Amino acid sequence: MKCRSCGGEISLTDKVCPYCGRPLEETIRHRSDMEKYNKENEKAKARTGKAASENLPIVISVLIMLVLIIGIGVSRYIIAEAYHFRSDALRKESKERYEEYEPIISDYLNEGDYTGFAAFINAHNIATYDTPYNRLDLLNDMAKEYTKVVNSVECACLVGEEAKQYLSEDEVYSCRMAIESFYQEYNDKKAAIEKDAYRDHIVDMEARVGLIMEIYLGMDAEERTAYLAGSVNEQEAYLEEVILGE
Amino acid sequence: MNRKIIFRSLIAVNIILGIWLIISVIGAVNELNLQYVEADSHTSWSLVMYLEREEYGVAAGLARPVRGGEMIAGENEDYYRIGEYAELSFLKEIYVKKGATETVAIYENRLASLRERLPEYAAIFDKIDTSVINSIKE
Repeated sequence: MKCRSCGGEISLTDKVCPYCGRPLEETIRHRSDMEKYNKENEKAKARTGKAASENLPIVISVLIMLVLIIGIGVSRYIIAEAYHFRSDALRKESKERYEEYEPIISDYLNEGDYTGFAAFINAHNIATYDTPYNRLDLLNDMAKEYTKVVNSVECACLVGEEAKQYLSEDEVYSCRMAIESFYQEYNDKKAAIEKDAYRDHIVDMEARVGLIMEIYLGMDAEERTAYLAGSVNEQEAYLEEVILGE
Repeated sequence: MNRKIIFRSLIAVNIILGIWLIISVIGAVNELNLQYVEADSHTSWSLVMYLEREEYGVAAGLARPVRGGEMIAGENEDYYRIGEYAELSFLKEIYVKKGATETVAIYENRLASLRERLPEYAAIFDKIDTSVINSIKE
């Protein structure tokens, strides 16, 4: 913009011409508008600042709430997955402690304590499908089957006088199933057992199952053969008579 | 007025969430505890129930983890040991039948040491012995 008096370059905010000193009436309106806008701007800023400061505690509370919710979510996830975390950690630890566990495992096996062996493998989360324990895989599978037989016969036979009233066909069923499952696994895996490093222990397990059936279910070798060759109904009838006295 | 109500409500919600978070964190830390065993209260309670009902075979099965080297919390260990006694008594008969006198002697020593360790449960041990004798069918 140029001064009407001297033609010098003036700005919209100049009150007088910087070249001739003439008061600039033509910029009065602009300056008053600008002052008005500046005041309004200041007011708006003040209003915004006030609103922001009034809402700040709420905003902070909401942020805290979000952090708490995320924290709870993470904790709940850890709780839900803790079993897997723990299992993985134990599996890793069992690998690291192989040298320490090896003689303990041998003690169980030398004593013929296959239920203890299975419990040890389970307690320490030893992965027998993976190195360095993979040579125990078949033995562990059979020890689990053997443990099922021990468990079911124990449950059916090891009862006080008071507890006999609680015995039912469930015990008969679980005994029959455990025995059947053991022999089925044993026969199905016979070829692998023959080649297994722990063959003698697995064969010993089979002999023990026979002894358990003889001692606690009253079957000698001949009766056991007949029992195993019998039908499901015949097997259950036999076990009902022995366990429930029916 | 509205802001105050909202703010106070948020504070209340945050306090509840804070308590929940603390409980969750404690739970998570406990869950991640790398002890082998958890003699969790449910199993211990079941063990006591089955021992009271004289179902010693079931108790033997529940207590089996202790035979695998799991560690049991002090106050529950006695029940697990009684279950162990039942299992060892059951298994001992197999060795007796096999004529493995050395192993029978080892088992008898273990059974005797459990009896010595828990003299207050002598009556239960006697009942377990009786149930084993009664269960022999030969």
